[in-house]
Amino acid sequence: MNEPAFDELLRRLAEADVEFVVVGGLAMSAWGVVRGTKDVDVVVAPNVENLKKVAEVAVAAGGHVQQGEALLDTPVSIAAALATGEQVPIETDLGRLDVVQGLDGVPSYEELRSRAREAEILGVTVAVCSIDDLKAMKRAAGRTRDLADLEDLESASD
Amino acid sequence: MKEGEKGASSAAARAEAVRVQRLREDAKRPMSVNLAEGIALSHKLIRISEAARKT
Repeated sequence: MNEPAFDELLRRLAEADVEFVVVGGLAMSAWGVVRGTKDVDVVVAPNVENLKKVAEVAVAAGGHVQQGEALLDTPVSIAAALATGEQVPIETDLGRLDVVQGLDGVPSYEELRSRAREAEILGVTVAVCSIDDLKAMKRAAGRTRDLADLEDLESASD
Repeated sequence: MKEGEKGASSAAARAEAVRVQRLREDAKRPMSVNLAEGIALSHKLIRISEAARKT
């Protein structure tokens, strides 16, 4: 990674018309529990065309995926990894893009998008998951950190 | 409970009340403002982690 630039990463995804919803730490911040996070967590529409766009944006930002011994660093190979339906962390020069999929408790892209709110960043609009979806995902993840996040979200929305 | 423990407990409760109040205030701000702030904090966190990793 050069210098982290999550806002630029989100801008590039939006400008490439990638269908995605922000979840995880950045969604926590958007809902008022402002804190640092080490990656940009997104849920993306799982159609082939969209996965290809995600992979193209990532590779243009120096993105690669380490899968065991294999280094995936082309749009085709990264799109293929995304098409498996498993979670794919993509290391880019702008920061880590974590494509969240295949996890218990994570709603589908369509469900998340239908309830999402929109926020502006660097002149583009990005979808952020609803606070209820975020709470549900935190509850389902159930780790100590997630439960602490859940408590903070409950406090913030009281 | 001893006096010192009572004092510490009360200070912790006050600090928690302040933290929760701040959360509520932040939650009322525009989502774009909070998102931008979260991104800025994330960048700082990563730079600190990277610097620590290199030393």
